[in-house]
Amino acid sequence: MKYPKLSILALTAATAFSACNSKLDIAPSNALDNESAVTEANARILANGLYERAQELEYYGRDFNVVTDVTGNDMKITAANSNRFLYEFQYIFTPLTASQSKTWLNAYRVANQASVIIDKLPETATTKEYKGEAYFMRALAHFDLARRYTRPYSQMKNDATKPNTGVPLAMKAVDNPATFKPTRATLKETYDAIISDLKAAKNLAPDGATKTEKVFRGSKAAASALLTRAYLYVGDTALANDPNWQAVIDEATPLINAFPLWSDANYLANYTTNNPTSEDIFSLRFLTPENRGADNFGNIYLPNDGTSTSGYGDVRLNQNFMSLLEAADYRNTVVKTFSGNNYMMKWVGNGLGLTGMSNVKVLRVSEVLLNRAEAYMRQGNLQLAVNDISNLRQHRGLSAFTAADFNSVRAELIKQRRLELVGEGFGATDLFRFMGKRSITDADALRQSEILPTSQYVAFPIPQTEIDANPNIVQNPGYNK
Amino acid sequence: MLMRKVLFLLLAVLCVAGQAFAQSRNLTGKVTDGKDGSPIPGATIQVKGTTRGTATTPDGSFSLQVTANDVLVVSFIGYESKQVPVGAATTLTIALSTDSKSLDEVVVTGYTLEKKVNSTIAASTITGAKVNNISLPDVNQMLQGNASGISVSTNSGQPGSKTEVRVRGIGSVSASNSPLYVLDGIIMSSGDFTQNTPSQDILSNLNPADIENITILKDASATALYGSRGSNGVVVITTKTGKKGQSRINFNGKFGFQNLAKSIPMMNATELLQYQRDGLANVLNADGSRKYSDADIKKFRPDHLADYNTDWMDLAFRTGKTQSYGVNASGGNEKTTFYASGDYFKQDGILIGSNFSRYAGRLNVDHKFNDKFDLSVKMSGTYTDQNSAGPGNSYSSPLMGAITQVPWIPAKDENGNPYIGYVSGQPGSPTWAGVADIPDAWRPTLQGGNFLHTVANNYRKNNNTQTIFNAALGYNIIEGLRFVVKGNAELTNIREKQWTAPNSYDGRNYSGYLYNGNSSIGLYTTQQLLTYNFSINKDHNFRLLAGNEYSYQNWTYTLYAKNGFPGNQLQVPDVGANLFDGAGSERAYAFQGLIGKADYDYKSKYFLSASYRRDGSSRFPKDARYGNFYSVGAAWRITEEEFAKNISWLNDLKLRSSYGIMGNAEGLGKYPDFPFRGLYSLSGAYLGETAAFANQPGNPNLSWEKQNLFDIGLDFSVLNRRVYGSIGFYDKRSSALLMELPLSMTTGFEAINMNVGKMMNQGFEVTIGGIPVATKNFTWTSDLNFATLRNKVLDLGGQQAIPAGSRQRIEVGRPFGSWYMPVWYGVDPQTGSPLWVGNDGKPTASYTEAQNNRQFVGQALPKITGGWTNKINYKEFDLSVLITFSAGNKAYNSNRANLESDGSNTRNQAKDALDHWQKPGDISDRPKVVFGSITGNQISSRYLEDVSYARIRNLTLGYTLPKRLLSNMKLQSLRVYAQAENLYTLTSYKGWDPDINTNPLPPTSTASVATTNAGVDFYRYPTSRVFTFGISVGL
Repeated sequence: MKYPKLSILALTAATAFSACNSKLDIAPSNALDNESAVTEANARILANGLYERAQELEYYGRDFNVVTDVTGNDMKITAANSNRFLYEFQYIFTPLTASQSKTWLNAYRVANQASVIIDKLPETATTKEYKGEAYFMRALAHFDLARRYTRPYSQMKNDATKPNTGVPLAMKAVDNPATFKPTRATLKETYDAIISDLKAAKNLAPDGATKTEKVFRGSKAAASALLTRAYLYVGDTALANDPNWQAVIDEATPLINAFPLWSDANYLANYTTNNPTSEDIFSLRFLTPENRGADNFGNIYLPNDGTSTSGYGDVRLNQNFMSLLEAADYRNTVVKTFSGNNYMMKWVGNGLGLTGMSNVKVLRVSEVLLNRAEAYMRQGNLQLAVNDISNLRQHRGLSAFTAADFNSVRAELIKQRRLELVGEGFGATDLFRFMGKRSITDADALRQSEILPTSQYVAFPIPQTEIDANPNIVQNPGYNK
Repeated sequence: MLMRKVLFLLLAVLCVAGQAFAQSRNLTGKVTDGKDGSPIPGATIQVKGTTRGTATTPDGSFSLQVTANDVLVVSFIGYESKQVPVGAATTLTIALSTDSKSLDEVVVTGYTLEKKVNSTIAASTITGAKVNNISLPDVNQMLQGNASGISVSTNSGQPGSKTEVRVRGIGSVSASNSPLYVLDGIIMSSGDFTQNTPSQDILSNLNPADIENITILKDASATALYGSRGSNGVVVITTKTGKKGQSRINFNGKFGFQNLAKSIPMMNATELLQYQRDGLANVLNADGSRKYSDADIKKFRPDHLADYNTDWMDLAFRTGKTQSYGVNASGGNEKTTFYASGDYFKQDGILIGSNFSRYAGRLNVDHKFNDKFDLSVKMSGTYTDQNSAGPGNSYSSPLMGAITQVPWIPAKDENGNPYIGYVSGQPGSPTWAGVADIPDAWRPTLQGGNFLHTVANNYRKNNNTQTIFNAALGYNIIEGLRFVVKGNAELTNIREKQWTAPNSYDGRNYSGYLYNGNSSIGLYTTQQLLTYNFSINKDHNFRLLAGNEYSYQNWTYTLYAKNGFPGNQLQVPDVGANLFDGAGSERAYAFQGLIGKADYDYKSKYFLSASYRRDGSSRFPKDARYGNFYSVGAAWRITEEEFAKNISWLNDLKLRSSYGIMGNAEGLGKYPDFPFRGLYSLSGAYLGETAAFANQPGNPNLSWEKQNLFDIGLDFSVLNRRVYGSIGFYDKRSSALLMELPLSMTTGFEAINMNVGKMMNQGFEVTIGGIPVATKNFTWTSDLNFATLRNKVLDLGGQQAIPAGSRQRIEVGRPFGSWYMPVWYGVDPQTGSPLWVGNDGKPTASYTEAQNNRQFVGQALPKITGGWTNKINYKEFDLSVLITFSAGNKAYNSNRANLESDGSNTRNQAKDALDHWQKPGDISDRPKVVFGSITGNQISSRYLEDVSYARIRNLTLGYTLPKRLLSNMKLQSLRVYAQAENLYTLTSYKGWDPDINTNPLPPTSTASVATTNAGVDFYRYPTSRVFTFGISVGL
């Protein structure tokens, strides 16, 4: 009597309640599975994801540009600081220092998202433009990785084909992340990949146009502008007839004609607006959802002056930079003097009321113009170079440039690049590209030693977390002592 | 004597039917306390098997109509109930003896209730009385030191914050290591569900006064019942129920205060001035000459800076009040019993701007319809209110301010109002008149403004409303066969409000902002359990269980913020001008399982048990969704054997062992409810449109983490139960560890969720108690429990090691949470430079070389933990002392890296830093102070400290009013007591508190160290020392 009752009950209980498998199918609410996400219908939001990732704090959200400038010759950090970027400024960074590992990660996030768009989406009229944008962003990501973790091409020259001189290339969508452990490409392969991606972008991406919303996405113009940079960096500075110089000029000329230079005396206004300006070729737009409060890009530069636009005030302009400014220069509007120190106000905000949150300018026609000037200079066409430099000077409230010998032109070119592009992520890249020495002599700057262009520190160390996870990666020389 | 009693009992049982025919007469008598003979008023006397009964009068006497065959059941709280056959007596004096714990201890598994003597289970039980002694809001903190094998540490001393509990070590690398919490048989939510609060535990909603006892299930026999989620141990909490007989009302009141137990002495104005001046003098140019002349130094750090000497640590901490008041009532009759309670608890944190209060109510009703059906209903409602201090990694937080702000800046003006601290011209800003003579870059400022102003104007509030409904309907089908259907709904609503005033430092750029967050969590569970207890031939006893359980949790949350407020007065979203942040989502998971358990014992001498559970979870892919978990156990009650019965000094000896397999599925990765899916997040935005980006790589093969647990133990009680305890050994092996395996970042991902690797936890658990002295007026009981832990990583899927952050490393053959960093060598006596261990073990001054020679320097998990309780009773006085201890592990004192920074920062320093190298030939632990250079205070074993400690956790002195005085006041009981908690700590740790959470974080965790403090003391809110006075009254 006992057993039959028991077994009947047990059976009914078991059968009734084991058919609950379907109740255990629950899907996430704010995320899509890979299969549902990577579809043609989602092409635009996937492309948006490229820019979203580029806006991460450790990439264009702040750190990437700040580190490049703080390791250059024009900025200083004093004893009055919030404990940020000290390792970079003092050139005592090591493979374990965190800020570079997240930069590495974010650049590869952009590159991989681009590869997915290129490889996994079907080839249709809708997806064509997004693939173009993806090619552009992938090239930008690899370029930024190269700028940060490799030595300048102009230094390497023939050594650019040696192994482990470039960065690992993420050129195909990765299906099995657990087994993807690439080696470093050579420096030449890296730039070749960048250039080939940019050429593909020029084919597929939408057209760019000055003062339109198109500057906030990848475009043919953006690819072209980045190509001027790529060809310029790759050129052999000892060879006047290196075809790269002409390539720079060919890419640059249509852009210079299509994107007018700023000419107003209120130079700063071009940075504090949310609208695309005439010079912008590619910018990343930051709107309210992208606000990071105290971590906004500008905050690290804004003085601690108790006003509604006060920030940390850690990174200040140093004597090297201030000595370059002439009184009539429109670019003086960018400098705010407070309590005896000079602060750069480019990134004070884009008018949305959120201090320090600005649209980050990645490609501008001023840079393209200066790239062309440099290419002319390398070719030996000094007068054409001087014309370009004078053009810029005159748009900045200065008189034309008159010297015509190589050394003066070179010095003026370097000076104009520094004055124009300060705070936009060119500091250390340009300094070491031109074989300059990093030396800051301000009395109140934190202790740091001189860095020669041959120093190991010119190429940042590959993050230790990457090396630990990927045994095929070889660290940059000098960090293993 | 014994035989006679047994015969009478047998007669009584057999004559139940004949009761009606026997003659009734009047019986009088007295019920007394067996020890001192004093009368027991209010004792219940029931005639067994009937509804007839009475209670004793204030002088302990009673009068009752009985028949010769009646058996009286006499009971009173705190005494063992006694059955006395009436026989031929006309008067009876019945002496009751006080409750002896060990025999009647029960083990609650959540599904079953077994007497400890009959159980094969290794479990630790903590009574409600012990739990209620602690003046802290969280029930977890009450487990510390009270049960062997349990390691409790807090992330923060903030009242209401999350506590980390570990049962038998760490079984998992990336998945959660927290045990399961079961309340009245149903799994409850635990952990931090807040969006904008530094640390809060949803368990702080549980009112400890309602707890009858807590059983911690440690071995496979018990935890296999929880199958998929039992691998980290189970904490089973049972709430009080009513007892039939006289209604009881109790009132408990407690009030007191708490303060910072141990301060870190900081430099004063003159000391810091000298320290920084030394630092400036030591800065050298490349050619060896001094960079700053004496005149420079006098200019950067003039004498007048020492005019102000603000003690920021004193301003940040305060003496906080703590109080709690509660009333509970219980009672009932044969059919219905109830327990009801209402409680209020409030505690002011020792850090300004933090406090916690809780209002709780409960009603538990048990009703027996008839012999077939019974119903149990439990309802509770709680409201908690927590005010958090800013997290330790925020400059405007008092926690960071206490140990960073320099003393040269005044905090308050002449009227005692705090300065704002960053406003132009005010002390703390670079433009303050008091520092005008110093060059700009050298002016001392208040980073983050003045925290006194921040705390006075900003707040971070968090309200929880939690209601739990639990109903169980039981149906006794036939004798021994019972079917129970249970339903439980746990509804929690968390409301968060963070107000940052427009004129405060954090709000200055936004015209203030207001964050409003709302989370709704619903956890619904249903169980159907069929139990069958029967015996064959009286000697073979069976207890069978079969059941089904399904639970579903739904968590919906939103968070939004507005800024642009005109001032401080109106703090609601309507008044803010701009909407500037918004987020929200929903999460859900479900579990379903089939349960089976079978227990067999022969003559209560030999025991066998087996359990099985088949679980499915929505967290795993369809193909690998279900897991099978089982256990087997056996026990042998040696004292029931014939040969043992003659050993007079041996009262009880039981050998038990079990083995089982359990699983783990909790808390893994970016999407803890969907760890196997490859996911694109759509929570991004660009140009006002959605942005989708790859956020988690998929792993369709992901499945349960498995744990094999072997347990063996010996429970004993000797010398007339004067010495008792248990000794056990466990071996827990985890395999298919759920791990966030680091990937090459060139894939665009940091880690992937995988089943990889094996880990082992092994240890001894010892509980020994004794009653060294037991006389009429004086008793002394002593209980010691401790557990050892040996944790080792056995396999990492082919890799030798996985780095875990910049300070730890997971390597095969070493414990999880092993510290791995450059090794500090000391200070060069000739140059004062910091030295680390470099190539070939030789000292080097190059930190890069030190980083390439990192070594293993200790572990984060403690090797031994335990507690020792001593209780002394003298007449009506009682004194109890609980000492908790933990040893064998190290934590990284990150605060010290900033407090003894060798000049690398300009913040205030600890007084200890005054003792540093100054001239060649000096032997010191601290290098030369060089202003602005980051060398000696980088990550190394210099700041890795031993956090072994012994602490007087609880010292209570109480006085219970004797019964003769009580009866005059018409009270049942009255006790007053004074209590001190965390009274004294013996440790070599230099920080505020060695009781920090040292549970290692998984390798790629994104949790902020400031709120988790996993192994690292990074501005951790310290634990406080509490003094309280209380009174308990029973009516």
